[in-house]
Amino acid sequence: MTMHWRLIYMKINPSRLFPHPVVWFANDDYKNSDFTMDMNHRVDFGKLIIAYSFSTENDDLINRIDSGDMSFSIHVEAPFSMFRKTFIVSDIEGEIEIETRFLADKVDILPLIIANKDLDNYHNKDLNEDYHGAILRIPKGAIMGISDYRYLYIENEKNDLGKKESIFTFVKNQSDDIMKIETEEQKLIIKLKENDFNKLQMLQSTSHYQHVVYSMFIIPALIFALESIEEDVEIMRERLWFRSLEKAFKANNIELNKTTVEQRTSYVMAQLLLEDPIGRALTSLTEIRGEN
Amino acid sequence: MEISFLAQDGLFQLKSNPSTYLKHYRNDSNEWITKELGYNPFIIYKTEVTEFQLNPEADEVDNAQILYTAMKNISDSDATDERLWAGLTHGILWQFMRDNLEYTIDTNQRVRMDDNLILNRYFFNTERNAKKRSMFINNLSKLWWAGRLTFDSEDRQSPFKSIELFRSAFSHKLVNTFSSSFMANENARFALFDAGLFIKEEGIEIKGDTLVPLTKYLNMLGGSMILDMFSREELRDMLINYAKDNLDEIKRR
Repeated sequence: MTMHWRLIYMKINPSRLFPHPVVWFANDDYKNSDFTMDMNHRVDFGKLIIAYSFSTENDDLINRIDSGDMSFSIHVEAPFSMFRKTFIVSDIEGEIEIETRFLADKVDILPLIIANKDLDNYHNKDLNEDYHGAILRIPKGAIMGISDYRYLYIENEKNDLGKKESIFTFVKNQSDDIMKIETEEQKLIIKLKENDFNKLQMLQSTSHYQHVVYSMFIIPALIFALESIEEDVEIMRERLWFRSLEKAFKANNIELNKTTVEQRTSYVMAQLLLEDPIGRALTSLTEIRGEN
Repeated sequence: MEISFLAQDGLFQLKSNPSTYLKHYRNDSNEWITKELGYNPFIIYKTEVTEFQLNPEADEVDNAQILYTAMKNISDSDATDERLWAGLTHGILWQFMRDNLEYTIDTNQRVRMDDNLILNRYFFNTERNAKKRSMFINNLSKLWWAGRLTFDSEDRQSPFKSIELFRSAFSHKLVNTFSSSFMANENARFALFDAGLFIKEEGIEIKGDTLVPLTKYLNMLGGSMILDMFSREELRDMLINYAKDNLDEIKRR
């Protein structure tokens, strides 16, 4: 009974046992068959559109799908907004649409082949010899094929006032502690003691000191954040700041992960992102000195 | 009427220093927020909602119906946003939140005024590790989501009949029912409620864990097949049959 529980999580555990053969990289139920799905997605006028293209070389499965015994399908789940739906599709290629108002944060996607009805005496030419002679009864709704799991994020990039949101936030720390940086929230939080916080707010009221502020606070926060990046990118992507930095680095053809940070060093990467912050800070300070 | 959400910076500020601000949560007014932050952190939300009033001493099932009915036009996506609920708990529903807090402390010996109580009720306290769970704990978002997930738009006569299953042990039931990801499937969810109402009609009291065997059975079904292939009626029959076969176990819960 316990084996059934694993599908509760979108990523089907490769050690899961099915009571019937499944085309899946994690087993050898079929000798030479594969099942894959190419996809790309876009968000258009409040809709997430997933364009898909399925492929399998197993003729018997294709015949089953053509005859309506089975279907290609795409299981989509956005756990936070309680969205869960398996799209049963009839074509090998096409698009599915989901209104983004039903989605939040992470969207899990799992391509499947499923049985549309009870199949009493299932056979497939490519089945592993272990199944020879076995009478296979496939119940309606059974998973017959699994392709690679993927996920995407629905970004709510607009901030409170409709502008792009900063990934940094300054917070007044009520205790008289030294500056702290938190990387475990959605944004990078820079905590300052009250006195410092108030002075910083005064400085931020003019643009003169912007680059100096960057050098004093944003660079160390970025370095600290880059150093905190763990091996598992999927876990890191749960944080908005990581996804945001990932996008910014990608625009410069840099993949953001632990290895890149180790190779390029966090200090260099932070400067890359802010485009010569030290030089600009020094220029600002020189100008301010000149004005005085 | 207009509602406001809490700007992210203000939200972080309040949430990061609960002990400092704890004393204010028994204030009659929320004016301290603007004073403490040095600016007004409330921002008017793009969508207006219908005028409504919650009763701080009422059963959560009743408040959930009022809140969801008034705020039905909020998208699911926005309803997962902590800023919206923190804005309401600290904003227009300040008085309700405060009175409800007093009422809860007065009527429940185990509830004590501390940082965690405030973080749970006014914010998404477990957002970092279990955001979904915190949606079912925040005092207002749990009401909205309870309404959202039990409201049956196809039943014009009594769209809220399933919420009656949550009449006692409200929060406990919310967490143990909706933590199952299969409950996000609408047919499966209402099939389970239908089976729950069947049990209730059999004269069995729906206690905190009465529906747990049904949720487990649904998880098992969903683990072995794709539930989307089945109609609400088909799933309901499976669940009711299971309930009939396991009435003794269900009664013991």
